[in-house]
This record gives sequence, structure tokens and C-alpha cells, in this order.
Amino acid sequence: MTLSLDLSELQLVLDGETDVIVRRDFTHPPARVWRALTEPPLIRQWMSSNDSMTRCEMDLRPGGSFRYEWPEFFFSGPILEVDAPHHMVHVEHFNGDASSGPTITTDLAARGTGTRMTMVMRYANAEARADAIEAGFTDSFDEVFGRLEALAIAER
Amino acid sequence: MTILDQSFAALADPTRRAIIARLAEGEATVQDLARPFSISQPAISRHLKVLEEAGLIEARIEGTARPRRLKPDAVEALWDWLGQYRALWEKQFQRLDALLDNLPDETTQPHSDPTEESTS
Repeated sequence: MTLSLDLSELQLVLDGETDVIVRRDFTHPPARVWRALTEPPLIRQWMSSNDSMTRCEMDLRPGGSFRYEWPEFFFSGPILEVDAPHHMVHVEHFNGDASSGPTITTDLAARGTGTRMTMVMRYANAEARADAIEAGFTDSFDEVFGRLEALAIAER
Repeated sequence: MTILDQSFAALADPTRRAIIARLAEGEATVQDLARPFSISQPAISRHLKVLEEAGLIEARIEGTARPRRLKPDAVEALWDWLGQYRALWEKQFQRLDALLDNLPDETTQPHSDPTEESTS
């Protein structure tokens, strides 16, 4: 049985006990990717699921904050670090629950004429990570989650 | 402690992650598994016990040997779940790709002074 995954485009790693790492390459340079990640009119265009965002605010500076709203839920939190167009750190609270939510470090590195984006989502502890992923994606994946980590790590 | 928590705890250890990665290639005996590591077979056996209790692996009885393997149904479920999880991310990033392809060039904006939204 072969368990190699084609993660060339999107790499997903559950690292250690607390981190979820998402890595993705884009064909455009960091300055353009940065704009798409940080300018509300652009964020609205790609960061949506079935429903459009009802509110999108970004005060992009250390000490600033952001708020992304959809009809049924919202994400918000403080902006901790900004070094355009390569690096930012923010905290993401779900539905205003300031007691939980990951600290997300986003780095954009030039790679040829494109960009490699690395997002590290760090949770307070292993349980918080499990809760977040369980709540966010599925409620019945018990044993599966650990397997993902093993495979992702094997893939690195 | 739920099965989920147990899986996390089980995989917090790098040796156990390496064991899982090895078993992803196919079943292996304790001796096979101990070989690449500079630790004893009893130590490996303890790691295997943790992984078994977390529901990640199982033993098959073959004479006196008990080769370990990943639990097949969990592997199946992994593929389903992993596919969904990746699809969520990838769908968003593909929209981002499309947006980037159509984004007007930076030359339409002042070069040395980025937009008020990105710095102020």
C-alpha cells in the first residue's frame, strides 16, 4: 500500500503538539500575494466559502486588529507583527472568544518569480489544536487525525 | 481521555512518528522497527503499546511473531478526511490564484508609498 501524498502544491503538516503548518506556492511575487492577503477588497474576493463575507476590516499594524464576518460566524483578533510584504503575526479568535484561537505567523518568501507562503497556526496546547480542527472540519475523525500527522511528517 | 487525545499524545513523540512513517510502507516486526533506532526492543515495544492503545496500529499474529501494521480502516478514513481538509484549503487558494492573475499591476499605485490599508 502506497501512502505517499502529492503535496507539491499544498503541504499540510501537524507539527509537534501545537502547530498546524500550511505551505503553498504561488506563481506571483510576494508583494502581490501580500496585497491579496491584507487588503480587504481583495480578501473578500478569495476568502469565502458558500457565503460572501458581510464585513471585512483590517487595521494592518502592530497593535491593530482585523475582523472577518460571514452571516453565521466571524473571526477577529489583534495584529501583533507586520513587516510588509513578507511577514505578519496575528491572533485569530472565533466568534469573539478571546480565550482561545491560534497565533498565526504568515511568511512570504520569494521563490524564483513566485512566492512560497508558510502559515504556522500555533494553538495553546495539543487539546486546543484538536478541538479547533475537530470543530472546524469534522466531528468524527478520531484516529484519523494522528495518521495525518504521521503521513505529513513522512512527507517532509 | 478520548481516542483523539490519545492519538495526539501518541504522536507527540518523534520515535512514534517515525514508527508510523515506517509502517506506512508496510507491516514490520519489532525487530524491523528497532533496527533504525538506537534504542532497545523493549523500548520500541513500549512505543508500540502506546500506538496500539491510541488505535493507530494493530498486531497480526503469525506464529510467534506479531508484525505490526497501520489499521486499514483508519487509513481509509484518513484518505477521506485528508481529502476534505486539503480541499477546503486548496479551494480558497485557487480563488487566490485567480485573483492574483487578474490583479492590476503595482505600477497603478505609488511605488515607494504602499496603500494606506497596508501600512497606516
